[in-house]
Amino acid sequence: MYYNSEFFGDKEKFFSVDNIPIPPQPGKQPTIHPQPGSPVRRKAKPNPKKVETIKELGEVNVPANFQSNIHCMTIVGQVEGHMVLPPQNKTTKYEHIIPQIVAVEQNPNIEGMLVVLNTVGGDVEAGLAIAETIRGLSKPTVSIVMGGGHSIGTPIAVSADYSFIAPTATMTIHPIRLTGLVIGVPATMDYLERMQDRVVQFVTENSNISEENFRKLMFKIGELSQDIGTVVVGKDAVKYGLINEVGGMSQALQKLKQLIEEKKSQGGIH
Amino acid sequence: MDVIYTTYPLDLVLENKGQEEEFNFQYISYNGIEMQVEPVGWNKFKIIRLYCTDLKHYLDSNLQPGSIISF
Repeated sequence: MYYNSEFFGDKEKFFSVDNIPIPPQPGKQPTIHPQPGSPVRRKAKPNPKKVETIKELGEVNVPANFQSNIHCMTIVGQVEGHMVLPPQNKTTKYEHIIPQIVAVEQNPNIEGMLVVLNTVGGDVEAGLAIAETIRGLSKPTVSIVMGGGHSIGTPIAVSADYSFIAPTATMTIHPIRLTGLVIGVPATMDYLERMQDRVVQFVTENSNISEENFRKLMFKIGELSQDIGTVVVGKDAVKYGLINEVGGMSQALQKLKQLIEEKKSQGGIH
Repeated sequence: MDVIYTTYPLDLVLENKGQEEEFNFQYISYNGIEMQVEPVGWNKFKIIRLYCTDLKHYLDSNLQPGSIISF
């Protein structure tokens, strides 16, 4: 309906569309009762448990009674060391990760561990402690670099029995810088050099890359802006021998299952 | 002594480091599990870390650092 509002003045009172009565339509009446066989629509009841899950975890279904023989450990954000990092950092806390790995070793229901990495690095000592604990695990371990496994993430990635990298994932290999990184005690060049040697030694012992090549990547000039080092993407990491294979989650799980089977046939997991 | 080996800019990692509020950590026993917590409200505690040495608690998803417990 069209009318000129200026002409009619306070038209709302009389001409409002809501006020016009709708005459009953002749003919077919709407069916109120559902026909037999047609689905009956019930009002959905809110499920408090589901709502809670969405609120807390951002997902709907959490398998409640699902028992997996694989434990998945995620290394994300900064690997936190002895110093508590400011709260804007997303951190992986070694004091919780290490007993978890021990629990994995000891728990008879867990047969293997998958390590998922998306880390930017962090504390050298804490990172090496995690890497050494993963290496010392007698149960099969497979690591997969998703997104990034930079700096101290590199030794953690190679510490597993078999390592994967997603095709788009990257690893940054760079020296432990000489300025601004040591908090507390003035460090000598010699101390940092030894710290770096520990990282180099761990990586070369646990992967197929030679020490010479790893140091070459570490001190390469022209790859990173304003820094030395190399960004290694997906298949390049495999080419250098740092990582075993390019793959995704399904390949990693398949490999882990295969390693578990091999371990079982060799005398079992205790 | 901490040596941070990261690709993330250090001034961003350590931003607000000097001006953070005092930590109010408490040492409690929850269902027999010793832990360090931070009160975040009335009868609400955020787990900072576990002191308990029983390994099964470390795999318990309700006891991960950052989860909230109440009595």
